[in-house]
Amino acid sequence: MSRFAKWGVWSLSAVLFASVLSACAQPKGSSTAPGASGPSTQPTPGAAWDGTLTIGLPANPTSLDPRVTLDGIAKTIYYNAYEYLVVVKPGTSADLVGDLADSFSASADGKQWTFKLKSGHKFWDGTPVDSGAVKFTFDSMLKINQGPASDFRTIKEIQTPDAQTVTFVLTEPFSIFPNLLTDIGIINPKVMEKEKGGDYGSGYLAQNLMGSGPYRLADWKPNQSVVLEAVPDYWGTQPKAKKVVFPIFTELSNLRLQLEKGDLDIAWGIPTDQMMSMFNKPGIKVQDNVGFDFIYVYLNNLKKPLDSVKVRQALSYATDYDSILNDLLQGHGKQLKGPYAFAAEGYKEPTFYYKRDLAKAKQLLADAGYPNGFTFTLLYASPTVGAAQAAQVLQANFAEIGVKVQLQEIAEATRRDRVDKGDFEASMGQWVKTAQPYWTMNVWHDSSRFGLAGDRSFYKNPQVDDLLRKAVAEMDATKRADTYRQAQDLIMQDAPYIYLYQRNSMLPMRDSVKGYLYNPVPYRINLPDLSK
Amino acid sequence: MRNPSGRWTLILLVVIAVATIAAPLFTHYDPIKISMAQRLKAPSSAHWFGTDEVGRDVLTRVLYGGRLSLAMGLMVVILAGSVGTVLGLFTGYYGGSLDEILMRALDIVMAFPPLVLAMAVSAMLGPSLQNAMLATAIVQAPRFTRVVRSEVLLLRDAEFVQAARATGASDLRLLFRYILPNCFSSILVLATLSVGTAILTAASLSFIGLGAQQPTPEWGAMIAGGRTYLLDAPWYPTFPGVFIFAVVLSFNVLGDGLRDALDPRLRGRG
Amino acid sequence: MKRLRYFAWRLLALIPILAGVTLVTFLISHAIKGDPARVLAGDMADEATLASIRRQFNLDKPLPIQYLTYVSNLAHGNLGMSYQSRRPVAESIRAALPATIELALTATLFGTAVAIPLGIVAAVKRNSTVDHIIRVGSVGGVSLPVFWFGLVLLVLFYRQLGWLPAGGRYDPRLVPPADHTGFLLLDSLLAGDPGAFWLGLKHLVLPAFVLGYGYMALVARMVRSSMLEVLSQDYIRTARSKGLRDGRVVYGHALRNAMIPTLTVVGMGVANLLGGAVLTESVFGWPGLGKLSVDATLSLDYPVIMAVTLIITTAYVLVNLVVDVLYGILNPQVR
Repeated sequence: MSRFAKWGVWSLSAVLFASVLSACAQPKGSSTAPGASGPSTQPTPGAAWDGTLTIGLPANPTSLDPRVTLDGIAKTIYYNAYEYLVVVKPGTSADLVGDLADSFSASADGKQWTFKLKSGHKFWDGTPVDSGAVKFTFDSMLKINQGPASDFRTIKEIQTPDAQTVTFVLTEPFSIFPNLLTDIGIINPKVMEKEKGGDYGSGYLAQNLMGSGPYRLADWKPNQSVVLEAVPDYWGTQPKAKKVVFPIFTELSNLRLQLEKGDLDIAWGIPTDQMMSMFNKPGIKVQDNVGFDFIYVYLNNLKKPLDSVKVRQALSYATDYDSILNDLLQGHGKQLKGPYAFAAEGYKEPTFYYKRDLAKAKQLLADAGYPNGFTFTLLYASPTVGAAQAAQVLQANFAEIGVKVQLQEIAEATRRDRVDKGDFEASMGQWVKTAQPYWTMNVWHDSSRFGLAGDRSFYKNPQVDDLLRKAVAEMDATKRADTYRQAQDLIMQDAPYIYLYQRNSMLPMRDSVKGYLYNPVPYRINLPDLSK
Repeated sequence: MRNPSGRWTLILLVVIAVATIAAPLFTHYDPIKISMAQRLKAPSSAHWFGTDEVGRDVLTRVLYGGRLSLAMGLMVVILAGSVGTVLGLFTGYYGGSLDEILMRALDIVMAFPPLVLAMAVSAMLGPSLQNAMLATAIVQAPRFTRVVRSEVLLLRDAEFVQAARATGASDLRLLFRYILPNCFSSILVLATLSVGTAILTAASLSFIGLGAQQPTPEWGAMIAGGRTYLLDAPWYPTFPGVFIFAVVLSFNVLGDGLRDALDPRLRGRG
Repeated sequence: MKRLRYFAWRLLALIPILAGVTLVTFLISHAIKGDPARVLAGDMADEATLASIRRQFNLDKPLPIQYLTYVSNLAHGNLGMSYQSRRPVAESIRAALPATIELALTATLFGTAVAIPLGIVAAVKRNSTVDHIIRVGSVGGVSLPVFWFGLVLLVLFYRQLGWLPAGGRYDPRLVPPADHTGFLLLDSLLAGDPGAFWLGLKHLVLPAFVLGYGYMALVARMVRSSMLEVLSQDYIRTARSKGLRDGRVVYGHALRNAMIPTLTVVGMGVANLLGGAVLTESVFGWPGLGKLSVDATLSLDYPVIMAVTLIITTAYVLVNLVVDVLYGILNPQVR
């Protein structure tokens, strides 16, 4: 009896596992139609659209104050509630176009930037968006001095000669100043009525919105959902979707399940690996665009043996860029052929870039005095997209030239701390910003930015420093691009980082979603034109 | 061992143990070497359990990974079980303020969010496999203390203990010769159930640097790493899970058999 | 009377325990490598920015001063401000705690209600097919990875069958009943909205099942094993030999004694459910304390870490107090 029972139990559990496996592997097409049963409130296909869009997000937003937050999720939420002096022109990767600004111009020395404001833009309470609001937003941001404030340290003074004119006076020439402004929503100065303890209203704006954009905050249940609604009596064009619901997910597979089933219209934050299978799912289209999301490896230029140029070049030659791009990303990205990113302002394909060449790598290693290789530790943390896999590929690549890599996954806060202090040999890194060469050129390589501030390889080349600083002060775009290219040539010889790839921006959505226009600024979705 | 299901699971455990130790005999794949062209392939005759996200054979990694996982699961349970049991014996037997203070201290340890504890261990002692085991053991030990203590409270005034005490047996002898054997069944239940929990807990710490690091194969880490692929490549996190299930099940049935063999009063029943 | 005094003593002991907890949590959370000012200010911040943030959040003071400030704020009922959300910590707790209690309570009720009868049946019908099925089933509870089990259930009940929602506490597109207690089921009853109650219940089923399953496994195994042990005791044999019917022996004598070690596991379980529901909460997007504490730990949000730990510890100590008192009632020999 007992033996028989045992077998029964075993075969039962085997059947259970098998059925569960097949349930997982079963294609989506066989499932019940969305809305046919269950709790789905999705309207049945063909029914009139109720004006609600549902966009899944991968985390709870932190503070919603544009003057304070650095959080991408928060930016997605607040983006359509505020207006900006300038925004990136839809359909381009780097061209700026006025949003609140009618026009803008710089003084010849690049130290004064003047913006003429459009008239008729109003905050939700009816107050006009004038130069005073712009000045208030930036002044208070600098006073609060958190988050984005560090990008604006060059502001000496903000002048408002009249209600429609605002002039930023800078301490030094800064040719790409307007590019920074696409991030900062102009805030209604009446927020000062909510000020508490000298916080310029940032406590209130952490969980409220006070802008002049077409959407306002209707509800926010932390870790559950955020709801935006169209502003009633809006001064401008009414958006098509009257209500946008953002459910918040912590399990990203669940986010994907809901998109596949049709309970979500758009899913933001599906991991790269799962994204690949979204490309051939019925009912789903993936918006696949050139992005400004970079994956690279910091090599600590101050630590032996990575302080040797030849060693760093050897590692750059040993890296299998094609495998990383084609196998991990299935081609949805580009090799980062240098820090001057593809599709950035003034980009030209570089003449020199690293390709896999093991013979050369071994030769360089021998020349550097390490014919038998060496060992180093490569750190990574889970928030870095694709880091674990890329790190394993690198480990295998370097093993082929005798370099042994010890992989170490650590907590993100610890990784950042160690990178900042230079207490590491190598680390996987990710950088998400806009299409300005400034970010990947100046910020990554200027030796005044050692540590987390940007130069995370602790790279120092005085000639490069000079060129970079010259470039950012150069008001002529063509000359600026040329100077950056000169700097890039020097940098590539020094190989301070291993430049891996530039990842596409991939956003999966239901076929029924209409009017999507790609916004190349990371984390931005233009909501007003979206409909179903 | 007279219990037939105990015998079967003992055989199963031995088979798993032998398969992991003699892994190279059962598979010709390299558990470490990646092969990007073969990534996330479904189970086939070439790869019985499919491949993982960098193209390694899952069966091979499950077999090799068993060495570390089994050793780790057992070590954690032995460490947590022995420390927890000894604490439970003394605190339950002597009672009084020792008991109060110790139990309240353990309340704190048990209530502590495991992740905070693990991160602190990793910050203070450095991230390593040993420290992952230590952190897991710290989390698990108080369970043993609590269970053993509650048994001791029940047993210390039992007739047979009173009788032994009357014959002049020392406290230590009473505790370890008379009381401890009677706690075995609870300890074994907890211990055998804890092996799986220990492997899974240790794995959940790997993303903060505690635990096995890539490319070392280990069941818990495979499950954690395969998490993202559950929908597209269910074989990857599932097979290591099946093995943990089988091991925990075997330990449980084995534990029951062992108890029958050890517990004087259960002998001959069944 | 004596028991009452003991009870009061234990309640009083809560104060030094919580003081100890704050100190230990404070020290341990500050031992984690990383700079919260850096997390807040971002990568590009200069030293001056960092310094101003440290000043604002009191992080520039020596640790003992920071600790004392924290404790004195706590004494005034102020849990501080979250670095991340910039909201009062109390607000986040107020939102997350009822969700966690609702889930933990349901899981405990479900787990206990199922586990005790199963354990008894398994013990009485030892080595039968029923016993084997119960044992194998309960092993699943402790060895199945939660995210795996949770997702498989979602695929089955959400994607394939469409019977249950995919996660969260409520449909985000709908307006939930007015928030009086924070307990959604209770609120929907107060609002007299059976539809909302039903929807809330449907959201609760899967997470409560997954969370309760592991707990059930432990309790069922413990009941079975304790029952077996007690059934073999001399007095039970005596009772049996005296011709008492099996039913009375099992339920009258054996169960009562078998409950004591079981109670311990139940007590541990309840507390673990409060703090240890992290994985379940994240698979099902349940906005509870577990999720809050993980986010806080990873972003070095000290005030939130401290508050969550304090609450879980208090709950823990209280639950164990109840368990200890129940010991006394079940077994007069103890105290």
